[in-house]
Amino acid sequence: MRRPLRSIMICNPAYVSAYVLGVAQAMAMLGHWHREISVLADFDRVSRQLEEHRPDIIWTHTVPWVPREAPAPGWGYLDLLSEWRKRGSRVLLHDGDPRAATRHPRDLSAAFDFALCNHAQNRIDWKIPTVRWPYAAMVQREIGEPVNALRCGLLFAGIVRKDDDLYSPRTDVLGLLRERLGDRLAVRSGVVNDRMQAADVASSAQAVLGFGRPEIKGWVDTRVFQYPGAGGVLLHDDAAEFLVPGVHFVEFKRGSTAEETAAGVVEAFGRVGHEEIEMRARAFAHVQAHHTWRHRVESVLNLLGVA
Amino acid sequence: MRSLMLGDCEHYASPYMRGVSQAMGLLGHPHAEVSIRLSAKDIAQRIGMWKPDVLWTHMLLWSPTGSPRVEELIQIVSAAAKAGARVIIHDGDAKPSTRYPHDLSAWCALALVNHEYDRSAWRVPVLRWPYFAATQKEIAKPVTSLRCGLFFAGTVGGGIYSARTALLDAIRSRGVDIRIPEPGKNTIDRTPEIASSSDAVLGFGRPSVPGWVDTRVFQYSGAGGILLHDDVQGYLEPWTHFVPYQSNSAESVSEAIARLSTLSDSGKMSIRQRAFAHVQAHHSSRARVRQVLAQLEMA
Repeated sequence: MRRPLRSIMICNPAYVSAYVLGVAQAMAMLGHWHREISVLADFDRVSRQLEEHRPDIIWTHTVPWVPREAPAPGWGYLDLLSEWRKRGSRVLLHDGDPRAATRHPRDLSAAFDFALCNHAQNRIDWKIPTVRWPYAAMVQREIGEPVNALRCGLLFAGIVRKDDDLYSPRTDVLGLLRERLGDRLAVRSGVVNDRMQAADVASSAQAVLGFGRPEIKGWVDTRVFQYPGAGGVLLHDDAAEFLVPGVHFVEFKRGSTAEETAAGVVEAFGRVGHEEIEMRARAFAHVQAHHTWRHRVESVLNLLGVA
Repeated sequence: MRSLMLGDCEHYASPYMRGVSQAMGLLGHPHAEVSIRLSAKDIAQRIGMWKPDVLWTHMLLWSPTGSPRVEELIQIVSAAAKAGARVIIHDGDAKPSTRYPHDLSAWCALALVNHEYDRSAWRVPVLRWPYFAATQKEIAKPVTSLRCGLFFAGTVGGGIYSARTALLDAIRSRGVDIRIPEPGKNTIDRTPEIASSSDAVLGFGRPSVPGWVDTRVFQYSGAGGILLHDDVQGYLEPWTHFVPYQSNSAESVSEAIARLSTLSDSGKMSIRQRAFAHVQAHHSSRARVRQVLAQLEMA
């Protein structure tokens, strides 16, 4: 006789995070009662919703580094989460951040049980166990039908900016690809996040481009799971141990300069076409079998002993 | 399918919003909620970002204090409908006349109503859609701190609640151990433990309202609770799935409790199990949401 788990995600609803979407999908599919609470809501509404829901598990996103628009400070959330831990909730921190050093180098052991990290970086300051927990694909039963309005050659979807060390290297490569591929390159960036359209985009683009960050230990690009898991052809330079080159994705070689990397991408894009349909099917089957959000969430529930 | 609920989700623990969220998730569709109390600009931004195939709404036409004007909200959902979303409104309101007697056909695909009052003014398909139970795999283990004789969760006081408040007083004066949560403390998310930990749960119908069904008819029975009710509208069988009593009669409630107490533990457990199985099979959130998707030919 077991009741469904009550689960809360404290998150920023103005940001369509793969993690937030994935946990919501997986918890619901596993039969648990999951809700999201906005970190942008007044703090008393946050407290009250927690009181009503009495969560067994609290997932957090952008906590304790809350967005500027949030009415309550990060330390307010740490106090609140500590209180709920004392009441028996299990509280999880998520760190998908591709930065060598954390933005919050403090003891978090009162507020959190575990940190779920999309990297293998040292987070010893937090004084809580960390688990390497890469991104994943949304659960999908079949590959979506291509959508004419989304048809394109090589697609890149993500942040493009020159003023940030995190994004300027890939922005340089995209600039060169724009020159070499012309309108065969489509870049979806700016204010509209297309994560909700991944199922349509994956099947409509000839290939989707992603970049790894080999300099960040254990970090895996979300696109490694997102697009192959939706039946897309992925061009990538670092799928870690999760995908097999030539079987589940098309590998390109990262060069020591933007020019070399762009040349690698153009060469790899030229290889798309052979076995394209088979690769879509293999990638979809593999990722859906091993790397969906359902798998990731089940691993956390096992870790917490509540599966 | 991308699914979004625009409603009073930060202030109101509505079984409709909870159930749709749960069922869409169980059916494998990404679903999120947007607070109707955000600014019109933020609501439009969230809807634009999510690009829903189906847009459920809660309190859209009688929006709560602090939300944009109804006209602004309609403008936003109309734009979503033009972009391809199927927009749904929900009317759990037991009022003979709607508070918004206007043509909705330009943007609304379906109205879900928990009654049989006339809503032809809307000029959209109307589906009688009673409340439901949250989907649960099994009956929860009882919790000692929640054990009680009779549990009632709901508003008490004057107006439309005066009759049931008087009845609760009369039942209590007969020595029945009734537990009522403090005003403002919503217990919907603890339904599984409350249902299994209470000897019985009390609910009241509104037989004068055509087709209206109390949410407790499904909520507690579907969690394995023993429901005492006066008007289940034919959805449950007396002494098979619930314990009947006569409307407005404290004596009838006392008699029903007395008769229930004569049953063996296994007899009581049989009622719990039959109710749980029946409601979960036919009146769960998943069953109701499937019905809506079939109606919209989106199943």
